[in-house]
Amino acid sequence: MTCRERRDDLYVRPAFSRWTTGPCREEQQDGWLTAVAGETSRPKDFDVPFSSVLENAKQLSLFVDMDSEVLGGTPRVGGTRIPVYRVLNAIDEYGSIDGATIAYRSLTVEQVRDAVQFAAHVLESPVEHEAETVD
Amino acid sequence: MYWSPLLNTKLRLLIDESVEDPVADVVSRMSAFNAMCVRDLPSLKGGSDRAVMDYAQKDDRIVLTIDAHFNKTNYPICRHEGIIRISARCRTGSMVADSIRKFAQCGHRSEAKHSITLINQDSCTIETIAEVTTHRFPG
Repeated sequence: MTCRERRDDLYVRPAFSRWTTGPCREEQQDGWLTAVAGETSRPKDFDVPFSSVLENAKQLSLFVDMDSEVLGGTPRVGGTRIPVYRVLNAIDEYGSIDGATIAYRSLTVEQVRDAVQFAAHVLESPVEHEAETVD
Repeated sequence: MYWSPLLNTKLRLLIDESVEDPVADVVSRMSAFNAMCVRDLPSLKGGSDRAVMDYAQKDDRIVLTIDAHFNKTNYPICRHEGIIRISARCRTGSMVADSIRKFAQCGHRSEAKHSITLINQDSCTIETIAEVTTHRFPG
């Protein structure tokens, strides 16, 4: 089977349709199976300790803070006792970032956005990124 | 008839900063409560749990909070004025305000002193040193 025929074979399978674009894999690697093994997603690494996930997300945040003395270490908006999860609930209730500033008048839009980003980082963290980098 | 502090049935509350501002405003206006907010106290704003608890004890106030760390493990019953905690199931401010209103009207609010009270949407569980009782809200 030629390389082109293999591509056509894959083209009818929507799940792998993105493989039909770009350079031919056989031109770059030794064999087709090797290429498929490289593209196949691997299991996510969910063994990462949650504390390290929170710490990593905190490093990326400007306004979110954690302190075992305040709210028992729950992620909160720095300088306040407002937990991040309540900010997310407020966005859910009011339907917008601005709504959260109505629920918590001491917060700024930037702080609310940062809380959302923090939550996104936490959910994004336990992923095996290596699988995503294979071309 | 003379005025006596014993006749004053208003619960003295210290509303934590984690409670939404509109909810704190509603609770402050309720006749059942004499409320003070952490957000209005610069010394407590963003302060530690212990500082909030100490202030509440000094001012004879029950802490009203959403934070689950205010529990009997961290703050044993009878070593403080009391804790009223809103269940995490009350996700929105309107649900929290509604639950507190039902608690204020259920007739058991005075039992919250020196105990730990968990308020849900349809009931409240009051844990004292002697017993744990659950009261369903009427209606």
